[in-house]
Amino acid sequence: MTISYNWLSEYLPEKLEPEKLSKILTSIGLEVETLEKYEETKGGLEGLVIGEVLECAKHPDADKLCLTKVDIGTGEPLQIVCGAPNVAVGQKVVVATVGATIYPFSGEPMTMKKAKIRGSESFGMICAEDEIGLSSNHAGILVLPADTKVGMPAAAYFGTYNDFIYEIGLTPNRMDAMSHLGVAKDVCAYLSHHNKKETHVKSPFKNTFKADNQNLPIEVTIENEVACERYTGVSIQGVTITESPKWMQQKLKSIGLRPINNIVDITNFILHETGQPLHAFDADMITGKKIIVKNLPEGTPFLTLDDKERKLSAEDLVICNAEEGMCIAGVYGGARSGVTAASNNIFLESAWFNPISIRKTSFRHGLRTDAATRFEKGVDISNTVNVLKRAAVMIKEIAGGEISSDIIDIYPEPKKKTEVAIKYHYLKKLSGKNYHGDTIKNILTGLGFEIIKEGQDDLRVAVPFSKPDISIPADLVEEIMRIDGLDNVEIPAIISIAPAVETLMEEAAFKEKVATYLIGTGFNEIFTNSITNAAYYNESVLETTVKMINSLSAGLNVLRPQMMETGLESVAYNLNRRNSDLQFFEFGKTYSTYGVGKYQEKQHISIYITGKKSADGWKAKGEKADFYFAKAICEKITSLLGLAINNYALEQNEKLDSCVQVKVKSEIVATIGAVNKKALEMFDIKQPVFYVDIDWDKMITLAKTLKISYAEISKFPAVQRDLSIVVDKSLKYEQVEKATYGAKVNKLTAMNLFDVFESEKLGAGKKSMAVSFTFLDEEKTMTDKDIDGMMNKIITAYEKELQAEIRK
Amino acid sequence: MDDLLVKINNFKTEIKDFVAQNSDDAEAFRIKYLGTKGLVKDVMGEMKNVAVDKKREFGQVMNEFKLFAEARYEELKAATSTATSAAIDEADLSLPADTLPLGSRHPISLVRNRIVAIFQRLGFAVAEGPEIEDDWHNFTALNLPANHPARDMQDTFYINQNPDWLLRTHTSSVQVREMQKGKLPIRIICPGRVYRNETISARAHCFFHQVEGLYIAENVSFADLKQTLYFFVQEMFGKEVKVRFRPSYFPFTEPSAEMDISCLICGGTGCNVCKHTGWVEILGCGMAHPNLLENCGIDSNKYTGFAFGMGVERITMLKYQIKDLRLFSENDVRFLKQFTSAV
Ligand SMILES: [Zn+2]
Repeated sequence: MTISYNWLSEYLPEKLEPEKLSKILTSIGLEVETLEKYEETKGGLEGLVIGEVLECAKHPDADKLCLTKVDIGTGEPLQIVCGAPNVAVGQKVVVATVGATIYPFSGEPMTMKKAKIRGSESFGMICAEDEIGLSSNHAGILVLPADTKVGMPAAAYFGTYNDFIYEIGLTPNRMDAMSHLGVAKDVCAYLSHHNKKETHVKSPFKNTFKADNQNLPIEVTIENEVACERYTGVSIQGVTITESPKWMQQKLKSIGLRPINNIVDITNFILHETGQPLHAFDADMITGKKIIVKNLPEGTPFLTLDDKERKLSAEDLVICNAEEGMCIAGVYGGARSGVTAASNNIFLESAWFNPISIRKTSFRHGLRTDAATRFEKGVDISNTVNVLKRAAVMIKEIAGGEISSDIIDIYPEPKKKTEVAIKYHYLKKLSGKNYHGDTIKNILTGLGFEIIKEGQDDLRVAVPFSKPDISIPADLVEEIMRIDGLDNVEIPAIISIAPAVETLMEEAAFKEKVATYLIGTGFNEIFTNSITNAAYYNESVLETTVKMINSLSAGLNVLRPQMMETGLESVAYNLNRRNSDLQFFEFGKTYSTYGVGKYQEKQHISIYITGKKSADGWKAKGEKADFYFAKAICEKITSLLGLAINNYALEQNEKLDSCVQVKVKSEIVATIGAVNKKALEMFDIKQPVFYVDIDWDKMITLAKTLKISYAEISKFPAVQRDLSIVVDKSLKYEQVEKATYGAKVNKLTAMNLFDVFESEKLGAGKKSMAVSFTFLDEEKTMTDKDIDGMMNKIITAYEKELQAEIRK
Repeated sequence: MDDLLVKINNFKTEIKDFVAQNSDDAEAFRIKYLGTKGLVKDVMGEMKNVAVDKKREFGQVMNEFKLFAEARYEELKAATSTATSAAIDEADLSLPADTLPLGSRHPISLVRNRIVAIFQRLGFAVAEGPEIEDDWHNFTALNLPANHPARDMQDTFYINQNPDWLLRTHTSSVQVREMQKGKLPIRIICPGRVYRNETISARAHCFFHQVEGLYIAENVSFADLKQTLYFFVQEMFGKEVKVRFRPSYFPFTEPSAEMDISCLICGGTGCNVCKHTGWVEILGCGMAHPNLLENCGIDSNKYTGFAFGMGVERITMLKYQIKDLRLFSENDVRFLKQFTSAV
């Protein structure tokens, strides 16, 4: 909401500096987001003075330029080069002196400098109207009347209008402050309290309304008394539609409104003065001299002010004449009934419409007008007559004519004020501050509350109609606290709390541990949007995907069913910026649905690896990351959670090549693979990307069941033996593992594959694998014989099950 | 006596010529010569047979012999040792270090964790809840009934209508769920991802992160709220930071306030970041609205409470002077790596 300092000050009994006022506004909950200087003419014509052209000669080196001497009242005439054809000796002109900044009507501002134009020095500029922002006129330099005083600042001559403008972030509960007068009332409540002196606004409402005649009576009927609780109107005959006075135009312009004509401007002025929207009808269009406030049948066509035909809903409230609708009540006018330049007689409406009904209609037709937003927040129902009287008197003064009816006021069921009681000890309990009973009373009365009943520890007040949002004691607490100032509530030195027991500590610690490990390994954590594009997924995935029904953007229409795609977007983003070695991880959620109300959210860690594991160095070139690096990362994370992988199962995957599922206790906890070509192409990625998806929920559940208890460290040394075998090329390492463990050597504690190769010597279709074994006996030092025995068991198993040949 | 001298000289030659292939040999040497029953000891034993006037002279010889054997042992031990010390080519130690990779935590994680840690110090426990919510938990329970104008403040992603299911617009829904459990007092913080149906720009995104807090007990006041939040900003931004509370509006708190802190960039004198006000908005807060308490089955006559909520992105942007929200989800490594040293 825009508030003009000058305008606001008119209602305040004492002058406050703009900055001071700004602080007060913010402290009472009318947050000043910006405070800006306003100049009707940009730059305020600063540095521009009136001068007289003393000499005017052709420029020696340029046909179209003149060399002038201009007196600006400083005693020493300035030499100025001027290109305007109309410059002549004796003219009174506007001079922009060196150092002045001029703000052209269009284009960038320009600061005057001493210049050399075609060899002649120029100390400023003789200005045209458009050059200094006065108008768009560029018909040569501006020539002022001959009697204009030389040396006079241009600002003084043109009388520029300056102001300060507050942009206020008005909260939805403060409909009482949606006008200059409303803000002034709040400021006065503040002043009353803090200056300990009753302060009231200078009310614009004067009791000067008087009907001149009864020549234009309008009969008003409210058919829908729920949607319209009060309708007030008056008619004025013989108005002259013309420009509104300068002072009014300046005020409207200062808050960003475009002046239109005197009648429209007055209704706008009154709206921003009082908060009450008014509507002016051309009275000659009120067929039958009847106004009926009612609903029209569903689908009734109606031509609105913007010349669009809209189909009315049966729930839209319409202001009708005897024959047809004239205006969508409180929301938007009709094309035929409004005031035009040709209007002569008008009917002015000041009404109260039901907020919910207005809101629905406004949204239904996409008409979020200023009037609608005020009605839907609730205008002051008690004020319609006062406002209308002020408007009528103003119209008569400004636009002429005669008030041709009494105030017509239809108010079938006058509203009662809401009453709220507040207990002082409740105020203290909620605020933490002890307010004196008199303070409480003074603040509330200062805000327009009416004291109904006073008790020892309580107060019963009636809420002004301008504050429909106030209905419970806590609301009064807020009113008292905000006027007194929230910063005046002391911060206690001692903290007393009921502490809560943390239950997510362990899970959080596991997360931190994994994150720390990954960062140490070179991974960057990423955050990707969990809202993504349905086009990434196939039909069957989309069946269980959570879809948004009102997304603003077509590419962001589902919650991600899988982690991979949003991370690949980030991978692609970086590859496109020539960062080709990437290691990313993300803690994120996927989402799925199994019917309305049945939604599942699962936590993951997703890992993306592409390019080199580390940069090239002088000792060694950086090694390219591959599947086994991804596998190692997955294993380490599993180990960090205390889990042992017991199986890697090959898996067909729509988006991953070389895909394996990682199992712990036969539960799938992770998937590892290389993103396949089709998936890479979707993101225009041209290099291999390895991907690990970890089911964090499952991992954490498994991890939580583990207990760590210390096991005695063996007193005897472990012994290592190596073995090389030649096997079929197709033999998988897991078969070697299986055969090893199948041999049931119970002192075997670990095995490690340390070499694999193929060569001609071994023969076609063969490969060599070298494995080392670690044996440990907790009871004694093993002898060579013990170890040989165990090795033989393994060798036998290899020979039998793997058809392996032992290399000596 | 000359016998002894000859004997010693022979041993010396033996010792000098002793060959050790490995550390076991070296050990054998030690046992043979320097052990408790070793030859050196034997020779020393002969001292008792040396004539008194020669004792001094022989003492020196024998001592020298012992040192000779010991020195040889050290030599053998060193030569056969399997321990290897780093053989550094000392020609150019200015050569670059190995290219060990180093990753980074995302700034949103860092700031979120910091916020959570500060409140945990004050006895708050973390509570989490679903991102896909029903209308009741996200709006109605929070004193935002249907057609409430304040619903406009939060452009909502809907995933179903009648019944309404949506993406939570704040983590207040988690607070509602905790209150419904009926275990009082409640002292929780709710970090999490929230959504708004907004056009993505430098200042707005369709998803972001919040940390909200709630404390409900008997006799909780606005003064307590101020104290908690003042503690928070001091830990978060330093002890010098100044705070300002100003009245505001949230449907689920009454009274409601917003907390500003003195601008971190200009210190309060005014700059572009604070729009020349000297203050920057940091969070919203207030006293739990009686309707909210009653909606969740809590007796609002007995219990009072405070709630607060802040945007993690907003605080991160202030802390690191980041001006574009989109940077957080673009994940440009040149952005991410700037937080390698952040904590
Ligand atoms: Zn600043």
